[in-house]
Amino acid sequence: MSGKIWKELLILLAIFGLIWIAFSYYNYEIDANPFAIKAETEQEMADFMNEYMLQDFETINQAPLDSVLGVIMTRLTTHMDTVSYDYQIHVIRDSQINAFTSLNGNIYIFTGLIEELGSAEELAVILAHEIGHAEQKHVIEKIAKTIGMEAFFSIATGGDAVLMSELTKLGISTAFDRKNEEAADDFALELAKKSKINPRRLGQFFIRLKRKNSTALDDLEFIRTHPLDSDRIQKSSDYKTPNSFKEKPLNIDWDQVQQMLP
Amino acid sequence: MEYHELEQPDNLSKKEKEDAMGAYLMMFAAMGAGLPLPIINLIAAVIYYFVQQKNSRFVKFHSMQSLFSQLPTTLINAGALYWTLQIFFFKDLEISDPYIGYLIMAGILNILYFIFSIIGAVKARKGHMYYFLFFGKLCYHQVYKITNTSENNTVRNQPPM
Ligand SMILES: [Zn+2]
Repeated sequence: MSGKIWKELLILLAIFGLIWIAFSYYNYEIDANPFAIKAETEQEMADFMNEYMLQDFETINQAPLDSVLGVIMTRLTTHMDTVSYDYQIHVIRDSQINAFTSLNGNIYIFTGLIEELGSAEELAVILAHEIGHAEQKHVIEKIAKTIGMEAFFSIATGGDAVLMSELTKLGISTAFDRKNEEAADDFALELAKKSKINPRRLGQFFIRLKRKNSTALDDLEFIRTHPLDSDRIQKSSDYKTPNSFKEKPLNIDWDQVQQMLP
Repeated sequence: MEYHELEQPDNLSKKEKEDAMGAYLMMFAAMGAGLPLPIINLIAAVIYYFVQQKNSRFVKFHSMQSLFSQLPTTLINAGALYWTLQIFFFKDLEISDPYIGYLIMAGILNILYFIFSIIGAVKARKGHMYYFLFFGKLCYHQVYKITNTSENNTVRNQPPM
């Protein structure tokens, strides 16, 4: 009798164990990001974010500045394997040292950051970093996580429509996690190398920021939205390039660009 | 090993049949009350089982079968919840194939558990025995086996061969 009982237990365990294994080995084609969204949705959310940005900030639309950004973006995008978005760079008149990526290929840079940069090539590596965030869908991931987190805790209280728009705003103001920052750095270093721009400029910029960090804490928005740690700095300042690597300068007069800023 | 004789449908009272059915239906009521926490069903089943201790073996069998068969389901569901939270908070939403396989397995288990519980409830209402795989035999053995203490006739002397 008791022998039979345990035999049946084994049968049960075997059945469910096999079901588990069978469904684990089935090849699910999961998207790298489980929260992939439709292009139209991303477009709408990007427009919403853009409107939100324009409420608080003023963008600068100067043809010479746009053509400078165009030169940098062309250099970068022509060296990318796939370009997921038609990138739009918005320059915002504000003293914050900041740059961030919104949805649908919208990248915002603050004049405070441009003033801080020593060369067009440095701006290129920072844009490469932001493109990395965009190409790897970090913003969508961040919003999905924030919403997911919020939804998780508010299941009992019921959803809120206003919450959605607040969270969208939160999506651009909160920091990426370290993993995403590292991924964007890797992307930027790789892209810079392919675009014949010295990748170590990213590390040089980080070091300068870090040094400034001790004196002017309030200014460093870039650090708040792009948390820096010594690993990241080290990785980007020690990035290996082949001996034959030679930077091909961007044909931009950087002093002139900085004088264009109001 | 000897076993007590099984009750037959005609010898069982309506109350006994309903109590036995209740053991299976109990957890559906509990499920409605404490949904995301599978532990509430389990607590309800344990309480129900102990309340039925003075009842007939037929009722005890069904309560025990309902309780025992709920244990693995609860454990598997708790595992799914734990794994999901783990992915949510620490794994950056990286979903692995074993995780999906586990969720599907847990889903199948819950559906089977649900179906067999309904069948168990219907059979119990009719005064029939109904044995789940493994749990049926285990509970029959636990409830119906004749133990020395329960019969109070200690067997001291044995024949020589
Ligand atoms: Zn970043």
